[in-house]
Amino acid sequence: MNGDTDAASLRAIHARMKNVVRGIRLPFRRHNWRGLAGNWLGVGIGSSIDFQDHRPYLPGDDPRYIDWQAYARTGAYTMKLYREEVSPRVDLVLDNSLSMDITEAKRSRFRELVYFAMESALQTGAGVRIFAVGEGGWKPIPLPALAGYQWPRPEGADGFPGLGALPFRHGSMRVWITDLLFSGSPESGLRALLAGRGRAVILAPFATEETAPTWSGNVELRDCETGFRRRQRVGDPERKAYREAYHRHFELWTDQCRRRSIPLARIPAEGDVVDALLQGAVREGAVEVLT
Amino acid sequence: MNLVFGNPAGWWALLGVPAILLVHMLQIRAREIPISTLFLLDHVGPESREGRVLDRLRTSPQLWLQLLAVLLLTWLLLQPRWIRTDSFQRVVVVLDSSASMAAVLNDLPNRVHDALVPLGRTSALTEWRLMESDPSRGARYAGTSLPGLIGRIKDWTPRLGAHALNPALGVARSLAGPLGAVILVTDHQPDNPPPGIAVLGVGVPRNQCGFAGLRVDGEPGGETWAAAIRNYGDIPAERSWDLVVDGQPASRREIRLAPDETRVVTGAFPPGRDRFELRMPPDALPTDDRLPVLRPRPKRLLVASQPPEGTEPFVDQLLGAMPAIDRVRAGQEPDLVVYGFTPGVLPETATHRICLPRPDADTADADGLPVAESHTLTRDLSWGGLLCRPVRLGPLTDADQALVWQGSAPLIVLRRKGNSEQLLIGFDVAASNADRVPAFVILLHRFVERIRFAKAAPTADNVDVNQSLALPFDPAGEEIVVTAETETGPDPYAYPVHQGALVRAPFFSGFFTVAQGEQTWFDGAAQFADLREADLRHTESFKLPDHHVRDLRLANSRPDPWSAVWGALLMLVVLSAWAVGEPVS
Repeated sequence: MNGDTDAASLRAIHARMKNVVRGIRLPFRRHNWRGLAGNWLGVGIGSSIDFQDHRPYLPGDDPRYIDWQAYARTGAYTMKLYREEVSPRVDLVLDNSLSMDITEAKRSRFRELVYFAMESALQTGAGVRIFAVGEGGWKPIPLPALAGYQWPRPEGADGFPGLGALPFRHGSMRVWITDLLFSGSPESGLRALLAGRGRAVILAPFATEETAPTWSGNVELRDCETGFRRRQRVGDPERKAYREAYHRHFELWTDQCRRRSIPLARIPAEGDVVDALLQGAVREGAVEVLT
Repeated sequence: MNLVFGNPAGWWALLGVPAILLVHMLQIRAREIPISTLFLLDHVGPESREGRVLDRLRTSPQLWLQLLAVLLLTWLLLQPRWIRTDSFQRVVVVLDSSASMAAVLNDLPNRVHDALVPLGRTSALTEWRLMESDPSRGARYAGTSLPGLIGRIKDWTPRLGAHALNPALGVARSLAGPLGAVILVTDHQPDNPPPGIAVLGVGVPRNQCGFAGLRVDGEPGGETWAAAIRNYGDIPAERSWDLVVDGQPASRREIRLAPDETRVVTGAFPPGRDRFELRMPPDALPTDDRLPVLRPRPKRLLVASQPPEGTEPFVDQLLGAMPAIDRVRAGQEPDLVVYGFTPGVLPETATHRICLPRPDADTADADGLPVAESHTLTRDLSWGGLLCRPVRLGPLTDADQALVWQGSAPLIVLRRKGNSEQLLIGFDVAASNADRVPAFVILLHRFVERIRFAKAAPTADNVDVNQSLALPFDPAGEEIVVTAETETGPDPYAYPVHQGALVRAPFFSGFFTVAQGEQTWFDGAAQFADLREADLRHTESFKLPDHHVRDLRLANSRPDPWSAVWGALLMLVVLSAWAVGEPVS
């Protein structure tokens, strides 16, 4: 797909997601937003840094934000509450591995989820940072780039992604859009997601070919990320063993996420995105429905 | 088992079994599939290692169906047939009686057995007959037992030189009938065998040496012998030969022969011995490794010579050139008289005579060239060069037979008087050129030998094996016995007296006698000297034609009645194998 076509499709996806987030969005309500000293107040406030409110000084607050004028008038220590402190912060982590592009449906669903998350955050006034994790580590994706439909080029993967190196913001919502198709224990990754009092949501798109492949006979399986090839004769026993291994893999992730109260939603790549989100994400608490 | 296959080449279809197994073991070119979950397959096996061509055999319904299809196809291609329970055939085996077959006698029963066993399987019942190409020998076996036939081959020996096989094959063909089989067992490809004859070649090309001929010359008492030794080989040969007297080697000589060389060795009779043998160590053909030599003892004729005036030199020369002629002496009864006679006046005696007319005999008018009647005495003789003046012989009687005419005048007449024969010459020999006409001289020789043959007296000579012996047997006497001297003792063979004309020398080298009653008429030494049979280099070995057995199978069997069912089952199996084949992902 050339750049123009890709941009056109991204534009279309973005437009759809703008509509979608009117009814479904990331689970901001569930998140107890604590900035440096405040609660999240609501949507539609804007994105500039404005003084919004006072509150009494509490031990441990940053003395730089003491409203000295108010102290002068009242003699009581009060803190200034700024918009940025109380606005949600969303750190969006994109799995930039080639496996996200394994099928057209998965690739499309991935982009939908990215724009869904991005638009969810923007429409609630959240500050969005975007990171792409792939081979060789992570790299920031400027919001204007994504908003300008410049999709980062997929890369190969180098084992379990190193989420611990990402500069998550304190208390941010970490939305990790990944297919979770890498070996290794989920613990280190999940721990990194929750570091700094963060909350995590994992949206995991999957293709039908991954859950129930129809391979048969002699096949040469080529890893889309490493290029490693494996000749395999596949019959019913092999397919059954694969499905069991696949199930065990996501069972492990689900269990670990549940222990850490991380909503993990497996989003099918096929079908309508709203249906897919309603089907896979609402129950898990990875998205919330707006009434 | 009554199952035979009309097309044994169908067995090649079983090669499909290893081919199918190999295909199922081969790593089929895999279709490349990009996946994102390869790490999940680490515990899914077995894995086909990259680079290996073959993998372990994986059984599958398709494999078994394909194997079944190959078996069914093989069965159909073999064209199974079932021998009819009421099938019958007759197989006549003809053994080539030529002497060269003696070189393969050891292995002959096995070769024939191996060739006949498949024939026996082509019918429910087979009648076997064994005969040989020697027309004087009858059938050797007739029955349903192949081992019985083989047993009769084990004690068979060939007895003839080179001879025509077609007469015996014609008899065999008649015995076998239109549906039977005739098998000729020989050691070379026959020339133009009759149709319907299958030939089994049992020859083995070999080099060999042997005695190739004998001649004994010289006056009685001073005879010398000359024997030919020949190398029937493509390589030089070194042999030794012994002169054996009374069974004991008297001397030994070495001889070296080049390929195809014939060497003549000579010698004198051992002192005081009338017979001896030359022997060589037996080789591939032992028949010609033994050469018995006998001092010839021809019948001697007592001849009284009283030729007419002017013919004495001719008669003396004639009698001097004939072998074993003695001039009668006083008191002896001559066997033959040569004398001058007056035509019309002949003595009434029973003596054999050659009658030459006196010079004063009346002449007769005759014109034209001399013409001969058809007679053994005149066969193949040309009389055109005879210039003579016929004389009047007088009227011929019923006992007279004119042999040569000139015009209406008989020139030579054969007259019988009782047991004697008289040769009447009807022209003045002295006034003719008859002494220089070969026909006249030969005729006189023939007549003299005729007289010699009829003389009842024993004789001795060196002859060829199986040579016909013309001897003056008494047709009213006892049976005629040919007694051969063998290593195990005398081996007699008797001929009924009425078969006196069939008497032959033994068919193997050695000394023998021919006797009738108490009278021994002939002492002989039989030698093998057939150069064509002694040369084994051109013998051949070949099998019966494949179509021969196949044709007999087809004639005595019926096809598999279930062929259509097997064919339909094959189609079903093939379709099933295609249907259950694993889809390609």
